[in-house]
Amino acid sequence: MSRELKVYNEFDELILHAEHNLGDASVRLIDGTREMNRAIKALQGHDFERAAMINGQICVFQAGWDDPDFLDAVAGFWTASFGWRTRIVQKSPKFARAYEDVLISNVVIPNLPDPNPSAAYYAGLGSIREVFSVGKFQLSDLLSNVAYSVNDKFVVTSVIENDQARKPELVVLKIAA
Amino acid sequence: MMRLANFLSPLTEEELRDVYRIDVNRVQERLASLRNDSTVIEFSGVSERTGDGNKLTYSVKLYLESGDPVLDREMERWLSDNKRLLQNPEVRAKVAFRVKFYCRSTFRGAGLATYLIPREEDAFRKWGAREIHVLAMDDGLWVWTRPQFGYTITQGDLQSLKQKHRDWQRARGSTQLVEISRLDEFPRDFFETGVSFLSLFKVI
Repeated sequence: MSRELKVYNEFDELILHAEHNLGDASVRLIDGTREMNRAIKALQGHDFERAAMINGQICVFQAGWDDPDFLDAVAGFWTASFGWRTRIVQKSPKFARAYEDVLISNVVIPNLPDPNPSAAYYAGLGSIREVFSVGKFQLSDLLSNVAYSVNDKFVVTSVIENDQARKPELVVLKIAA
Repeated sequence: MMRLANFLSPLTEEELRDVYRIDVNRVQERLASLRNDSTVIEFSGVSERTGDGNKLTYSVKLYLESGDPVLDREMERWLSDNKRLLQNPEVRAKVAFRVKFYCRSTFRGAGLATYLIPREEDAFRKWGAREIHVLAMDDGLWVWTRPQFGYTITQGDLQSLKQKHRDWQRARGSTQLVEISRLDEFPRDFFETGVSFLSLFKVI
């Protein structure tokens, strides 16, 4: 399983795109500026812990290097400290296998108010409920925020990004037989 | 519950309290009426087996003879006996964390930090701290990154700070982008408008 982190600056430019592979705990740089590539390389192999003050409370972003939520901790700190927009995409092995198969539904979610909206936000979207019925999966599936298998026939990613339209998409993929 | 004396050993509670006893002859005249007998130091109980090991939080309030506070907010410190080091995150050790230190504007530049900081560090060193961490924010971003305080930043954070500085210059319409190589070279207005927090540390 791997997770990808995309970081955007105030000009909405992609300044970092990195993949954290949880199998061998490696990081692969896909795109980004020189500084951000150096920043993620410097974090490679080390546990992460940074503090920030949010709403008057000290918040600590921490994760071990080989933890699945390592990129979440880094992204959370960068968002709090620098105001950068971040997005994380998780791919399961099933997702990887299904990726080249048939795309059966590709639904744009309108008016996303927050670069990192909560699962509760998605749960409240009527349009998502319609998508659920297409893929025959449960609301709780999406709340898990991972690429998710449904009845061994379909897989739904967490919301992924459409770079051109700058709107996230919910993608449902049919798993190869 | 772990007793305060056991947690602080080999430092004593009296020695820690003494850190905050201000010699008014060594700070500026503006603080001449500071009353040490009005100083309030409050220790929380020692929280055991937190994510950072056993942990003590304490706060300090300083007052003038008039009863006016010297600080905008109480000074807050955390002592953790098994916290991840910033210089080497795979190692856990005793760490002192400076959380808040907000001087009232009237007393900024009156030498209070210059007086207190080395005294605190002596005490933290005696306690056995390997690092001192600072959550730098607001005016503290500029203050704590001054070389005389000796704080630094991780290499990864320095690189991301450089990225932010580059974008900050562009947003202000700069055409000649300045490359910064050291933490203390970033301009003051960048810290005031471009960054919310930094995790600074010092190895002691």
